[in-house]
Amino acid sequence: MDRVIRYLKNDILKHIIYIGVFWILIGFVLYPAFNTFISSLKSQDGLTLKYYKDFFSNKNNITVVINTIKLGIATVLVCGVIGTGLAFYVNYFDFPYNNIINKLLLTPIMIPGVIIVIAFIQLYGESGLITSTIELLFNLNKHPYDFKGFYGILFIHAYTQYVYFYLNVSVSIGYIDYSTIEAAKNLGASKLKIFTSVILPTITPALATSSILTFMSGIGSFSAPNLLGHNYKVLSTQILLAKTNNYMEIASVQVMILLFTGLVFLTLLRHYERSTKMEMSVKGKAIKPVKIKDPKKRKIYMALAGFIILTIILPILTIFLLSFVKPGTWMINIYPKEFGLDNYIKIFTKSRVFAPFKNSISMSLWATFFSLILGVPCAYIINKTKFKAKGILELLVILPWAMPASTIAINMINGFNKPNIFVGNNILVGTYILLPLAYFVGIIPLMVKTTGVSLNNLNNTLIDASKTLGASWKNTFKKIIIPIISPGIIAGAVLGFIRCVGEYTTSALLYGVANKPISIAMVNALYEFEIGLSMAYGVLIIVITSLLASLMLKLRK
Amino acid sequence: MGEVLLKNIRKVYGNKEVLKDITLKINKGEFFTFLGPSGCGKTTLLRIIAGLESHQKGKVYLKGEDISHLSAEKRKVGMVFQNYALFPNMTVFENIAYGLKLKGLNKEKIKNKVQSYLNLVNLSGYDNRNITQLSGGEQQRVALARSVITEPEVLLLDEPLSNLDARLRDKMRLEIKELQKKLGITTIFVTHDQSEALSMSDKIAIFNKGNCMQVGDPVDIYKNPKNSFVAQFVGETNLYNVNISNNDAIINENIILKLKDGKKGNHISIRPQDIMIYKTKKSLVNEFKVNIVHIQFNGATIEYICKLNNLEIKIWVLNNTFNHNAFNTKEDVFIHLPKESINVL
Ligand SMILES: Nc1ncnc2c1ncn2[C@@H]1O[C@H](COP(=O)(O)OP(=O)(O)O)[C@@H](O)[C@H]1O
Ligand SMILES: [Mg+2]
Repeated sequence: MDRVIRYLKNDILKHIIYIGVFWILIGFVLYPAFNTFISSLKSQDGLTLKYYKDFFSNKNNITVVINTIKLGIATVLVCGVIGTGLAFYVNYFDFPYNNIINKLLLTPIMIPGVIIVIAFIQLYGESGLITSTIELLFNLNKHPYDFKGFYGILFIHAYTQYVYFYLNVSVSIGYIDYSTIEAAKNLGASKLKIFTSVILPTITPALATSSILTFMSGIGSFSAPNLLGHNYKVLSTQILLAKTNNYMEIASVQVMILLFTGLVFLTLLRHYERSTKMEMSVKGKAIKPVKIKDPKKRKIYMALAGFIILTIILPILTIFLLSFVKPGTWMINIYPKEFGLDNYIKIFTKSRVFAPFKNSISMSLWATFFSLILGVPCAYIINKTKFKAKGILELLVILPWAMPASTIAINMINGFNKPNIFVGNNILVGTYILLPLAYFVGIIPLMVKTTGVSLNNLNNTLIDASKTLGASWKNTFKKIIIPIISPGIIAGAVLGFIRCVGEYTTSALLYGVANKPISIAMVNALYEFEIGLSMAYGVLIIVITSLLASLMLKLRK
Repeated sequence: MGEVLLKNIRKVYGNKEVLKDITLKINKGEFFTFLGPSGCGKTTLLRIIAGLESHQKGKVYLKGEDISHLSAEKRKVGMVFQNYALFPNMTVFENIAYGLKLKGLNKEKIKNKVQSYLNLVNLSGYDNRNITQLSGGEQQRVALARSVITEPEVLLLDEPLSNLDARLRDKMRLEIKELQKKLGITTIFVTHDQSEALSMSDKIAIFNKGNCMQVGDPVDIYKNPKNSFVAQFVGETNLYNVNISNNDAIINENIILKLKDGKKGNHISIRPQDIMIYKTKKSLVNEFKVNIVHIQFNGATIEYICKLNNLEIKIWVLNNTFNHNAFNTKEDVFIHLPKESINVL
């Protein structure tokens, strides 16, 4: 009898959890996306393809689509070259600074994109510090370059998005079996032959994976095109325009096209990725970093190292430096002259100025909290159970990953601008919670993935062992399961929080007076020529994210 | 320490019957081994005893008390898992102390007891090591200490030696056996390795495809296997299909072996070391002229594969000064199969 009751209890709880995760995923991911789809088709006389026809009959719109794809492909190419090059530079040559350079090279992913864009404008824009310096040095009366449009965006993408290639290729270089290179040399293969026959096949899967990630972020990118795109228009900025002018069906059509573009590329590369995936042979000899002995080459190498460090550090230094510029003192001079803590004092004393900071923190906490509630059970079901609908669950969970941020925002509007049964027939558009919910949708895949990894570390026999040693289910959970999986969960939560706290794209599409986030405040301050204030906001975000990141790394150990 | 009684245990996974109808008695303080090929249901039976697996039919008794309905944490059964299952988030000390802490012992007592058990498994000074810093053998000893420190009524060991290299395995055989003797704990040991079973056990149960084929002490099982599976699985043997009539076993219709009176069955088994081999005819019962087809040198023994017509016969001879290089390949020799060494199955 005891058993029957316990079984029923467990079973009921299990079913509640299953229903709960599907409820949330369908309600916040699938149903809103479905509404966007319907909205792109729905007119007075039922479902039509009218909006699509209208869209494609306008030449400007076609240019926008082409621009988006062009930007995506160019981003993949540029980041591929830079990221792969850097990965070989750091992992293939033996130099004392490699460790520092490696860490530095990873920093751009920790800093929200919008902050980097603003820092770049301060450095390379029309009146930017570097631009002005070059003009001064060479006595030019024209701008030496035009940091906007396609190349401006691409420059920023290169800086912020090479990291995927860098990370993945670095890992795969570790898989190169040095003994096969030796064998190839032995057989008289040329350097080129060795590269194409040994090295390239090993890193190809990494290249494919990184291409997918980079392309998706390239076509979905918003802050760079929005802040310095000028005449170069892409889908994500057009979506904002359509939404602002309240043409939701046009925004929906654009979202569908953006989604479609992403999915096509995703399927193509996935297919390619599968076909190239080779069985890693039993790990042979690890590649050993090459020592450079030729002094001339050494010098080139060192110069390159210096250049990399400078390029990466410069924007970050700029943000810190400019955050101390006294308000209203830097208008005509090339370089700022008066510094002080005024901007920080303003943020922490004026509640109107403090509000965006507070909003971002609390909304990111909400989003992280939601992602924990959904992500942990999902990861558990996917990794540890034999649940029949697991495949569907997995698909729902990775779906947001294929959706650029602007897509998620439009989906949220389409899903929640009328009573929605998934949230008790409430309308969420115009409320505080809509933006944190959109953040939450964006970080679901990340949360499930990181939690899943740590759940896989939890061998079932550990739970059995705990039981045979006399531990109740509660004790086993507290003393074994939680300590083993919590580092992964915390890492997921920290990464998710970092992603939300400086988020710009969904914010721009969904914020209202009640929940203006820090990223919007930064951009507004920039437009109001309060550069110092804008940068002080940026510094606060960077400080928070780097503190959290180092905390996470500590916990990992 | 208590005795364990398994009564008519049946276990089904889906439509696969993994344990058919197992009834066994494990006496107090006994070192009892489940021996059988991989997949025969040993682990499943062990987990049923531990309460980690449900079963469809039958009862588990510990000290005469039915514990079938008790959950694992209430059974007073210690278990060492095949992969040791040490908690990666704890040190050696914390792993061993885990069960005691759950019992609510005070810190001082826990500390002393853990120290004495660390001593017992030759790991004193390892308290603060991380389990990732331990070798396979050391992990094994931590797992042992952890499972016996709570003084369970029975200790279950699931192939504890299978992850160790050959030399360490021999050493741990001895250590486990010694620990078991010192503590006097009723122990059920699972293995697929017959030499492990023979050398360590007080009693062995042989399993095949969810059935228990034979129970007995090692000598008995080795000497008197009940069926051809046991004869083949425990030790090496020459096993032949035979027709028996009038105390004669007829193999391949042309070889006739004299048996002891009144034996009945379809097979005979004779161990390779029970066959005598020599050069000149002695005119004994069951003496045959055979040809040596292969000689294998094994160090302490020499193995001869001989042919009698088409019948292959394996013979082991001790490799000492008398037997060394006694015979050559292709040589014709005589063998003698003593009546009392022939098992009829
Ligand atoms: N959880 C399970 N689900 C289905 N079949 C199982 C499960 N566990 C074990 N089995 C099957 O039960 C049989 C016995 O397994 P096991 O007890 O592990 O064997 P042994 O320990 O003797 O190698 C095997 O055929 C195995 O495939
Ligand atoms: Mg087993």
